[in-house]
Amino acid sequence: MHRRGVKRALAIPLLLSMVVAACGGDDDGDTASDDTSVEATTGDATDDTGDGGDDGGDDGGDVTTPATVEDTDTSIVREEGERTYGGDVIFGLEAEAVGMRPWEDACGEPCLNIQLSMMEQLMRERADGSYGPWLATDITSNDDFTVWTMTLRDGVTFHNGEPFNAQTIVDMYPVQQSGTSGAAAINAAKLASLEATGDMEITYTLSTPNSAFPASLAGVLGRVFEPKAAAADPDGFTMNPIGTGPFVMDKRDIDNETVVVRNENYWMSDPDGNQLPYLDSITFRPIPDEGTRLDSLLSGTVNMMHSLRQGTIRDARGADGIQLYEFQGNNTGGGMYNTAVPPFDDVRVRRGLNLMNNQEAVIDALGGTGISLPATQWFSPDSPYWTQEAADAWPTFDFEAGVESIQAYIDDPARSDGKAPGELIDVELSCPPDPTLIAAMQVIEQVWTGSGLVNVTLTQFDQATHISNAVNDAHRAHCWRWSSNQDPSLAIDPVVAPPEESVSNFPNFFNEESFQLAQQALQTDDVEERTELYKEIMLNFAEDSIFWYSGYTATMVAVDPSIQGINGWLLPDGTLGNGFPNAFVTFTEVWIEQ
Amino acid sequence: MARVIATRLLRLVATLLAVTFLTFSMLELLPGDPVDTLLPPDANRTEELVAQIRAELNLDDPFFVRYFSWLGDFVRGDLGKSYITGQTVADTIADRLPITLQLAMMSIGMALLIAVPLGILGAYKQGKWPDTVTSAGVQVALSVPNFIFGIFLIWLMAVQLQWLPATGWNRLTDQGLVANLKTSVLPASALALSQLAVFSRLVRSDMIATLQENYVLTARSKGLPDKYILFRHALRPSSLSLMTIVGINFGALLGGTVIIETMFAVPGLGFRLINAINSRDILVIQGITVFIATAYVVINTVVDLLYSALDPRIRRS
Amino acid sequence: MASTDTAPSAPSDSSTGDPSRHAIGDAARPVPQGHKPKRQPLWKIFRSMPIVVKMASIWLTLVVVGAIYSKLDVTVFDGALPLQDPNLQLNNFNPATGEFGTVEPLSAPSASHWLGTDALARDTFSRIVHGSWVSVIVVVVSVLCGVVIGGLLGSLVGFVRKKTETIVMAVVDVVLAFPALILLLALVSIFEVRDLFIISFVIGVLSIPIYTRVARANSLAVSNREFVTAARAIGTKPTRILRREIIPNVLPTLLAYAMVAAASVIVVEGALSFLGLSVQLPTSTWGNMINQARRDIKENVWQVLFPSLSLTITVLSLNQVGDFFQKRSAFRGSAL
Repeated sequence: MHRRGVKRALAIPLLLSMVVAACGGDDDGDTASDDTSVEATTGDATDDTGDGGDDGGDDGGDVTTPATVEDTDTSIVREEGERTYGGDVIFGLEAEAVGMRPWEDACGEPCLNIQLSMMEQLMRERADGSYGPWLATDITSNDDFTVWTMTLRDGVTFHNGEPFNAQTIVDMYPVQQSGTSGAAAINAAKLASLEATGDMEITYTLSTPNSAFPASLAGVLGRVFEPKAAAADPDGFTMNPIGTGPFVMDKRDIDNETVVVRNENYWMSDPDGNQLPYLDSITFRPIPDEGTRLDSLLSGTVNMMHSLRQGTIRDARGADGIQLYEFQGNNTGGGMYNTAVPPFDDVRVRRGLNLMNNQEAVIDALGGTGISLPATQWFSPDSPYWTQEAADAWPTFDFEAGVESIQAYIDDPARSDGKAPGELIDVELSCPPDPTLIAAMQVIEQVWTGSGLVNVTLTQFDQATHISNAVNDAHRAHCWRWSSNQDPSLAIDPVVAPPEESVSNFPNFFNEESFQLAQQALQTDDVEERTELYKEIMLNFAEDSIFWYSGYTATMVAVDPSIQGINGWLLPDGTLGNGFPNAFVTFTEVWIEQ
Repeated sequence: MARVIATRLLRLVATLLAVTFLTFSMLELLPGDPVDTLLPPDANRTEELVAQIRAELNLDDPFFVRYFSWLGDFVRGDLGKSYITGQTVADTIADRLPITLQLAMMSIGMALLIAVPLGILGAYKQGKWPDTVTSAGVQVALSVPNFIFGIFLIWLMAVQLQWLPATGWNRLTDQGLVANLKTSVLPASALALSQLAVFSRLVRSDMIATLQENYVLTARSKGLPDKYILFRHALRPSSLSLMTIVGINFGALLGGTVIIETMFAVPGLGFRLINAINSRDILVIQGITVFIATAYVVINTVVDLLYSALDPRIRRS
Repeated sequence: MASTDTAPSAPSDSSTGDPSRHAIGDAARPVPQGHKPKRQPLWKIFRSMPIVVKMASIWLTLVVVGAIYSKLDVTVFDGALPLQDPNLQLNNFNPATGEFGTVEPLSAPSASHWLGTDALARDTFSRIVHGSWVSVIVVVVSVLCGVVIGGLLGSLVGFVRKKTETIVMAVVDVVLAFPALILLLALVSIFEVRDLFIISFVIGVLSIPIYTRVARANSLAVSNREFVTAARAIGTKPTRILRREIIPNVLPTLLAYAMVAAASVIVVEGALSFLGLSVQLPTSTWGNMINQARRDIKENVWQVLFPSLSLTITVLSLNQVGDFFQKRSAFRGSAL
């Protein structure tokens, strides 16, 4: 018990920081998930207060129509065209991000856009899903992935003129350890200690093998801030963050605009040798209202916006004169059953409920038909870890089969909930009080109730209570979000670990095989081998039916067509970066066509 | 007169005590430890932080002691610090207040500019078609909630005509008057509509009453021009009640701009309040509430006193 | 009234050209001066209404009938009355038929769905009718609070005066000092109150002061009339005077005022709903219907238009009818 308490102290900040995330848009986007954290979050794809149960419109009633994502080009390519200097981007964000301290404040999509224009990562994800060096130049490990040695880029300076070197990383470490996000990231990366083994060399020692360590350096752990300034005035850092990035803080007027201007001394150049960045400035404006944000773009008030709402993406598709960049993320909406509580301890019930989950209708209710794909696993088809086998194994909507499965449980004299055979099962379905989630919840409820076997109660608690209900095992059928665009280990490991050791195992379900597979995946960096291991885990998930899914998160960046370079930016080694995941834009190579 | 002022001020103090007490009690009434309510769910809850918060808020003192120390802080302009944004509540208010003030004043100004002539017209042509038309228009204006009018304004002025920006705010102090007006006209108009209706009804009914007073009838019989009578004799008494309602509206607008500010992404007090509500930033909610309530009470007292000072009938009694 | 989303205290200002919350203006208020106000049968009053007011009262009657009908449908008749289930998604599995519906979401008005369907393919007409229940309850509860508590208090202090008046009016000032929407927002958000009756009750409590002021002003005037002074002179018990003379004379004005106050109460609830802070979903209210449909305004403008119109027409009607009764009580008073 005590042990769990300690774990909990570590895990809860981590969890909470991410959970609030995807439900994002709340106020200071800094309550949002960061890329280091396990992105298991409540809520549905694109939910936020104020969004109505919008709807894609057409084939809502037609159950047999397979949902497909409309033919939008989501491949990452480097744009042609002559790069020109100058110009200002005004970017309408879904929320303000107040906290700019990478070691302390959780950072969702709105925040990432602002923060990473000024601060940089040691590593960045490539278009192919691998990780390449950014402020680092190289990283290697020992054979069992417990010791990692990294060399750093020479000639980089912070905005305040301080040099960037191994001492920087060493000085950053205590600041990270003291902060909420930093401590969670260190814990998730299994980092035990680090030391400078040269002017430009850092050696990381881990507590257990972690072949995915470079992925952690692409998140909070590897986000480089100027440690002296941070230590001198931690609170002031939020108003005046100092990094090495392509843009420098110019003006912060919280809730109104944050202006960053070109870093004249930026170290990176494009392949033709032109110094980056091209833009003169970026102005970030929080416009929480989805409708007026799109209106702002259409009226020219802003020339760039993002959205994590399917309904907004649909509306933007119907609008003229703007360019859309859509992204289908791994992050998966849906929920989980608390298997510690009858009747959810019985797989027949869970499987039956899943079979009666009409995913396409749910997506339709979210306005995501043709925008968001029904999820079958923790990876979207764009991910290298997606497998057809896992997709086939996931129980798709089959009303009769669902009824049959639950009927079998109900008629079982030894049914686990202690009721007499033939009595209805009680299902308490709970989501945060977000209009889109409520819409999704109602779609599910109507089918479950329609079976005549399930007595559904709907409850809504605010975000914080919703999460603490899961932490305290007060949940039954509980809305949640799964997976992230980070390395699979970060999302999967806490959920397959034994429930008594991992607070994040919210379903309270333990499958020894899944647990072992996850451990194995940390001991190899071979992508094919890891894909195979994670596929097996996905097959177990389908078999155990501890989760239900709706769709993958669809996100969009919409811009004035003159704005270029959002899609195909390069890492310093010339490889292609990962585009605009979850509507987070990398601004190094963005330019405005004259 | 001195007596009026004295009783009014005494009442003001009593009201302020009650208002602050009620707002302060809100946090008390919440179930559970206040620290749980104050800290964001993802906070790094170290013992020191909890102890620090308990000390800062004197949580170990009895309720009334805490109230008076909180009140003392409030009087000195210290409303605590948000544990979510790290900003002090006083700074937050100081930062946002000018914006909301400007919106309130602009909307009242716009409403008056249109409402007064409309009201006079209605009174002057009472019962004839100009009166009927304006009365009907005013009725409709009064019945359209401002959030509906706001949706319409953005659609028309920003998206269709592209005359004005849809959202955002240019600070008067940074970007100058023209830029500021571009961003403030739409939200102010959305707020002005219903006030326009209220004001013009007030002017009309007041004018109709005064036009029947003896001194106006005398002036008429003297053959003074209508214009002269309307503006010199009739509008004057109306301006008193107009002033009162403008004062009340002004106080109410400080807290009444929430929806419009959110819709137009105007970073005023209301926008901050909604953000605070969404992130359950209790101290900010409490601080903004007590500030607005105080401002409301003070403004109403000032209006009352002004009214007493200006209205000869009251002054005499 | 101030901006539409502020306070239930506001409407008096709009209705009487005189900010009633200020004691100074009270003397000017028209007051029924008769000893016993004559009761007229409803149909007679209706016949005396101008055409616009007639239409307004018909609309209001429809809203109330619709609200009661929809509630009866759900509670007593279990959906048997001819009105579609407001929460049934007609494109989803229908337990009643055992089949999946084929009605398209966001459809335009048609014969089978008079006002079309919303994003979840629910019948908009039915949702509006059910939504009127929320508006009606908010109005009824808050008006009851205001008229009963505020009316009694105001009549009493206007009649008794002295210290009672000073104390009561001071308390009234305090409550009046709260910006209602801010307080409601704080209550709903911090305490997570989502119960329709509690929200209505809070709105009601917040509107007590303004009713107290209106009642007091009228009570003051009535107390000075000959029939009251006469009653006092012959030693009639004060409670009897209050019951027999004051209250019956104060009530008509108060009720007329309540109509206008109701208009702003509806707007306040609409604003709360619009912010997603009123009653729990899926219960439909006009405010949350507008809010939800707003997302789809580019797909289907009807779904925003209909609840907006319901809200606007109801507010307009309440103002019209309220004005009518206010003028009427004033007219009758002066005629006597």
